[in-house]
Amino acid sequence: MFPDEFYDFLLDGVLTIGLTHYLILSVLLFSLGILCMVTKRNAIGILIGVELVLNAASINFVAFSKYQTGGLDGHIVALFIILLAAAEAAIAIAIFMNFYNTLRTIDVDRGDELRL
Amino acid sequence: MTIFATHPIVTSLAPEFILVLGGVLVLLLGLARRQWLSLVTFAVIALALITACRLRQYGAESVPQLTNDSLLWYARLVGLSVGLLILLVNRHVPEEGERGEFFSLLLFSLAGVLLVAAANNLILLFLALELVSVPTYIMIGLSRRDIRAQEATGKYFFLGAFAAAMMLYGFSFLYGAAGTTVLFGSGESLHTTLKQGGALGDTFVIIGLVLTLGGLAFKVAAVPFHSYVADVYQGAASPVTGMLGFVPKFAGFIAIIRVLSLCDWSYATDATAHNGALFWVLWVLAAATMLVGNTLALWQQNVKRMLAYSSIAHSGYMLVALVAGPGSGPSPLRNGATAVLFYIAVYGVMNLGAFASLAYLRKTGEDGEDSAETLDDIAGAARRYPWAGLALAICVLGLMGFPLTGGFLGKIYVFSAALSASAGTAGHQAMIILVVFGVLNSAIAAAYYMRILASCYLRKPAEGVTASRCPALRLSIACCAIIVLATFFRPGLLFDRSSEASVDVQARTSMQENNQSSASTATTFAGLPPQ
Repeated sequence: MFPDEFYDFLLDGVLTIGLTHYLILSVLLFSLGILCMVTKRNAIGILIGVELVLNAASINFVAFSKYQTGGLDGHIVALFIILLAAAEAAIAIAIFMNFYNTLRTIDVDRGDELRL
Repeated sequence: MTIFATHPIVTSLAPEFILVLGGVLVLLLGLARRQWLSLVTFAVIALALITACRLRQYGAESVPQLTNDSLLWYARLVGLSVGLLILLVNRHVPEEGERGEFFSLLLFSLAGVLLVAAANNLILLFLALELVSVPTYIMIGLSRRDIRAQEATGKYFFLGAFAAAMMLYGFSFLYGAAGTTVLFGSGESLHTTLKQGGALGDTFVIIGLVLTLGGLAFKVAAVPFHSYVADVYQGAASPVTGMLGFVPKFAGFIAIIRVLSLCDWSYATDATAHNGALFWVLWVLAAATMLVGNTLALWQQNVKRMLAYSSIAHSGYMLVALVAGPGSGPSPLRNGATAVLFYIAVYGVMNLGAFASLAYLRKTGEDGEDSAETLDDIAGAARRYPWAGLALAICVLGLMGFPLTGGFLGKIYVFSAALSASAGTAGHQAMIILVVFGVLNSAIAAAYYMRILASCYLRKPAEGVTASRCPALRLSIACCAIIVLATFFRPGLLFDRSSEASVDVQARTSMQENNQSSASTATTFAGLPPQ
């Protein structure tokens, strides 16, 4: 149905997973994370967006580590990122417990007292 | 020669270890709810400062993954000295049961600043930057029942987390381009590979640098991540705001200097190399930051918000010098890095002094006592409290860049360095325009600083405003005002050290090329393994 070159391209360029695939995945995650942060009004929703961006960075680090350098640097960074994300989530939840106790909601748009 | 017979990593990071262990100690002692907790915190910072001086005197062994240059020494000296002032200003902020948490968070944040300067590895740099920011998220909301403080905390946290994640994404591209996480060193390091564009070419380096600088723009409150500043500064307690104007900014500028010297400033200061992408990004950032900060400040009635926008503008002035780069020679008049390091120290003290003076004037509102905020609150303050008014005036004049204050010299250095460091390069014309724009901006800025002074000196005293009785606050306000004046009359004390620090920023280039260490830098630049 298609010329042979197309199948070659499909096999080598698309179906054989390489660095590019990981980079595209991480770019998608990064964009979705940012989209999530911009559109969500629920504090937990925004937090999920932050985690998506952090995961995009982790994927980049591990992919570069596998395809570019071969060392363990990238894997170690990914471990640190997981730790950091956990710590950040803990603080976010503490902050929004406080927020909830004061405002009875975690809708971030409800906090609009600060202005001129 | 070492001070303690221990592992070299303990010796070379001794001040940071003292701060972190001290922080844990203060946190535990906080359970006892004693008044002398702030004294213990003071002693911890002072001990760290003394240790840093001793380390400087005797030198420390070089440890891989850590730098040991004069920029680190400068960060320790300035960070811990201003840290002492910040502690004095903040002494009365936490409530009875939350003193331990508050002071330990302050110590952790200061340790973060020092570690940013000490990091010679992407992972460590990132974790250190987070260690600076994360405690400040909590400090804004701690001991505040106010809804506005909750809102400020939420906004600061989310923008901060977003900026950090973006910076990390940028780091991942730098890692991909260089194939290592080590920043500087003669072996495989980002510094040696990024100059040639890295393994994957210029594009990856530029994506990485732009994302990284975007994340750092949040830390220094530059456009496009400036939107949180006014809300956060207004929502936080005035003394905490004074801290926010220095600690994250100082760490941010040190990190920017480190990141830009990774590529020998070539992406940043050369308008022709690598298509000049980063030069123009930084150029536009600096111009926009100055303009946005100053114009928005003109409309404010709330002094805290006004100073918040002025803090954005000041970041813009400092970015101008960074676009010019370190240039040649150590003099602050010719070297952008020296000028920035001088400016950030003076700015930190002026800003802290201004917010401390606001915190000194107490007004009783609906939800309890709080510091004075609006122009009406500080009306006639100088008549009723002449000394506090004078200190506020000195700090505000310093922020304005008035002669006889350190702020004046800071502005001279920044603009002069921007002109002379870029002389003869392709971007010189653009830099002249930027400097003219900056000078015009500082003229606009005078308008709103004058409103603060006019309200403070010329209007009838406001009703219901009292003075704080905290002795530490009075002492710190006096210290801030004296330092702002002293940096004008004896600027050498500060700029000798900042020029020394920027020599190492330049030295990396020449050392790499000559492959030999000159006598002047051998003792200080230890990120490089012995050759």
